[in-house]
Amino acid sequence: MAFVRTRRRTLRRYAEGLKEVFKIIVSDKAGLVGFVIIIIYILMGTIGPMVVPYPAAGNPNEVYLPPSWEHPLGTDFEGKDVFAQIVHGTPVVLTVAFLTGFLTTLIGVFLGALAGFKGGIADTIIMGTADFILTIPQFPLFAVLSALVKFKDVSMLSVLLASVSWPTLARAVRSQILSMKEREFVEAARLLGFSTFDIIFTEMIPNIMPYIAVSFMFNSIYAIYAQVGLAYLGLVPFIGENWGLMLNRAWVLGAFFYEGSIWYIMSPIIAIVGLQIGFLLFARVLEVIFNPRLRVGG
Amino acid sequence: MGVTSILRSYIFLRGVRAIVTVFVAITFTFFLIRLMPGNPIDVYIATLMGASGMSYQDAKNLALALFSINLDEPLWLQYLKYIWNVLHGDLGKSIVSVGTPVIKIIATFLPWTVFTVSTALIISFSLGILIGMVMAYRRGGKLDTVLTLTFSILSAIPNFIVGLLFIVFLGVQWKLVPFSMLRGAYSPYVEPGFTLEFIIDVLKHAFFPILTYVLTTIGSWALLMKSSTIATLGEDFVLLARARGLPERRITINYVGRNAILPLFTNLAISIGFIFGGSVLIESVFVYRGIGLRLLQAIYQRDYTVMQGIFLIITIAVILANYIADILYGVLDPRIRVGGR
Amino acid sequence: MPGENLILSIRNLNVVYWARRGWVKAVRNVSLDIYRGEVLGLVGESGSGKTTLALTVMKLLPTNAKILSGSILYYGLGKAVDLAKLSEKEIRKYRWKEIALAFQGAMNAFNPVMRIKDHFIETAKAHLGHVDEEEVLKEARELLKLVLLEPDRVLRSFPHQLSGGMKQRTLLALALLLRPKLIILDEPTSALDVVSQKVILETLRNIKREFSTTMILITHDLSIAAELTDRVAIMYAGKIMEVGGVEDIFYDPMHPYTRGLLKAVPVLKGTKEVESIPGSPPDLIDLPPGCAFHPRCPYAMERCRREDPPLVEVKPGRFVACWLYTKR
Repeated sequence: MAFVRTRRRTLRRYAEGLKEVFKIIVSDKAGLVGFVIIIIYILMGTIGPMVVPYPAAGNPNEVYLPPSWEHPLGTDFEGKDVFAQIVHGTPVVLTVAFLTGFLTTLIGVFLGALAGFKGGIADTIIMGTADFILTIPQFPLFAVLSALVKFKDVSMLSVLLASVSWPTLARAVRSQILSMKEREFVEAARLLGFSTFDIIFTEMIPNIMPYIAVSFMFNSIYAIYAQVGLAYLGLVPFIGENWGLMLNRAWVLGAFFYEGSIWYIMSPIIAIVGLQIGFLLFARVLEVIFNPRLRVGG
Repeated sequence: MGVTSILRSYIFLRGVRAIVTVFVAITFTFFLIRLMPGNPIDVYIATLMGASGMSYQDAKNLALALFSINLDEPLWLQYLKYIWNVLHGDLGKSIVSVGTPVIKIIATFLPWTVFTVSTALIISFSLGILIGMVMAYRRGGKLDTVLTLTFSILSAIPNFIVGLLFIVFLGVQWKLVPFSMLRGAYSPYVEPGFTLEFIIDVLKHAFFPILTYVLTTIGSWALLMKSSTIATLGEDFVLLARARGLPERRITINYVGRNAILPLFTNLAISIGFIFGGSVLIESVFVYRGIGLRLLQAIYQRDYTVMQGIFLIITIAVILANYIADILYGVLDPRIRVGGR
Repeated sequence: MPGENLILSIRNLNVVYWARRGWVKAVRNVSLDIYRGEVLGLVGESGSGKTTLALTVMKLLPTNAKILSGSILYYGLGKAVDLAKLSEKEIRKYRWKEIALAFQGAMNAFNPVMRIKDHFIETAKAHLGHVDEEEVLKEARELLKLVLLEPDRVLRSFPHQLSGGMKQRTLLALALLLRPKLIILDEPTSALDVVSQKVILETLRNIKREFSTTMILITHDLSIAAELTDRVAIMYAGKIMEVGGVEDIFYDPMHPYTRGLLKAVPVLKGTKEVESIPGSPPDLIDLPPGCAFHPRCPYAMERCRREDPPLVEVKPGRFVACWLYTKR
């Protein structure tokens, strides 16, 4: 078997795996809704800022306006347009969500595969670290780190989130690899002289693609939670426009206790919850398909 | 029970593991503060010199006294001393409220968080299990469909946002709950003590934090229990229990229920850490005077010794809670507790 | 008249269950008599409806299954009771007390979080109300000895501390606890190693001698049926194909399927070669017209493709469902 051909076939297998996952999601009603929601947010995060002008300094005579044609979601305490703030907050939220999901997947798959395939000391160290990270309360850790490290940009936050989110995926990948190690197709590949790397990435990983996809989405969900939470507490000021920061401002300025601020407060909340629901519907469908135990009936 | 069998017993082994984990946590917090870029001790010394015009030596001495550390010693000695101090309950002194021992601050704030968080966890876990079983027995029915959807959506809402929604709607829009009266762990005019008035006041203050924790975690317990119950219902021992003519009630509780709960314990560890960590956000939303709020205050004030101490204590609390969960798991599952043949 | 000796009489039983693709016809028009004190072998390939039949008798079918028609008359209490018509509450009195079931899932038949002794005690309590636990355990010890186990160690154990063979034998002891009049054994030896299989067969022989309990032995393995049974019923695609004395079935098989099965049994010291039946069992959702066996039958005639042959008594005690023997 030619080496190059195997590589190309592998790429095709990954592409087919993703296509399969996608088909499954779209064929389910809830999954389709989740998919549409995520697409809307992606459009809002990419095209949105080009179409909607950046929220300029508002008119002090127009604070806390209810929705109107001019201000679809009303205005804030300075008279700035709320809708524009939501739109311009989207790119950051999405970047952190996807980047964290991506990095976590990368680290989790790599370390899990390494631990499962190599065993021995590598396994002990990786799994020991994973167990320890799982016991650390993560949110306080982020909070403390925010005081110790100067976050420069969004990607640094993603790296930090990913560096503590990988254990669950790594564990799952490891156990999958352990159970697959003994199976015939892996034995066969080894006898044919394929390298460990090739066996893992051409034979094993494609088999657990659905699980990795589910994990990607749950990690993105957690990244949204963590970044919005940190921004709400005012611990990551660098982020610029961000839904969490809008909540932080409302909290610090006491807007929460002003009845007329309801539109300003509910806008970021709905934006956050909507995105979370989108991801969750997406993930749940995959989970049900991946884990037949969850299926109703026989 | 002989000495060797105690040494090999599950509870003992888990205990050793917990202790090792605590040591790793202590090490982690030591290096977290000591080796971070922009080491907070140096930062603090610089601040002292800048703000009050102290000489470097004076500033350094004050800083070292507060951190209970001697920077001139080699790192390994500092580390050993740190462990020694922690084991003796010395977590240094606060930088901001100068001189207050960190351990004293923790003793004031920690109990409230332990109280709310563990109450919430117990309520959420047990209620979620009951609901999940009902859903499994009526799977595909109306109740199951409605609850599955509700729980899915509920678990999509970040916990602090649920808290914010309570304040916005119950407090501000509809004016049903006076949230500003419910700040703190209890009202200032109530004398702490074992009186009915105090207990009711404490419960009033803890109600919304607990409700928020429960609402945001119960869904995942119920959904997990549902799938676990469905899997257990298909087990041979359930079929055989029916064949033996056992009463349905007994099968539901002793056969289905007890076995379906077991896989949930794997998730308990993660949940304990999450709910405890979430206290930073929830306590900030309700201004509940627990350890999470105090940690946040320390972070805002850059009170590094307090930060370090509280982070360590929260981690240890989570490790302890996990150990308790482990023991409980061992009690419920003989396959864990009693080894093979 | 054999009527007095009857313990169970199944008549025209039809059971289906619902799968995604359609209705699975798991048991088709089965009529079968079981007599007091005999051991009846129910033999067929996996998926032929043997287990469904056993579960139907105990009314333990899964929720997606349904008894379409037929009756299961039980004579153990002096009068005929149609088990198929009993409510869930009524059938509970018959389960284990009258009819016990030891099935192939013995590996996983015990509650993993309970000690073995509690399984004995709760079973007694469920049927006899308040009982002296010591009495029950004394009885359990006797039975465990009978199945060649160390009683005290087994009673103290949790299920995971016993091997598969030990669990299977413990289950047999538990099945005997309430002295049921009928025991259904579903593949008692499958999933066990050869030594454990031998011990189980030995145990079953002991039980047969000691208690003269009526037994239905469900198996796909003709050699096991040959060792233990008095009569054999052959099942294929949810239908009984042939019934007869064990010697008749082995030395003078009539139905082409039975003949095929016998050829497929490996003979240790024989010169005969093992021949498996060509083709594969039919799809129970979409059965072939006529006799379900005709696509694989070397003797298939035109009629076999059109009409399903009824089970007919061709000699006293000898029933066959095949157009080769049914002139009409």
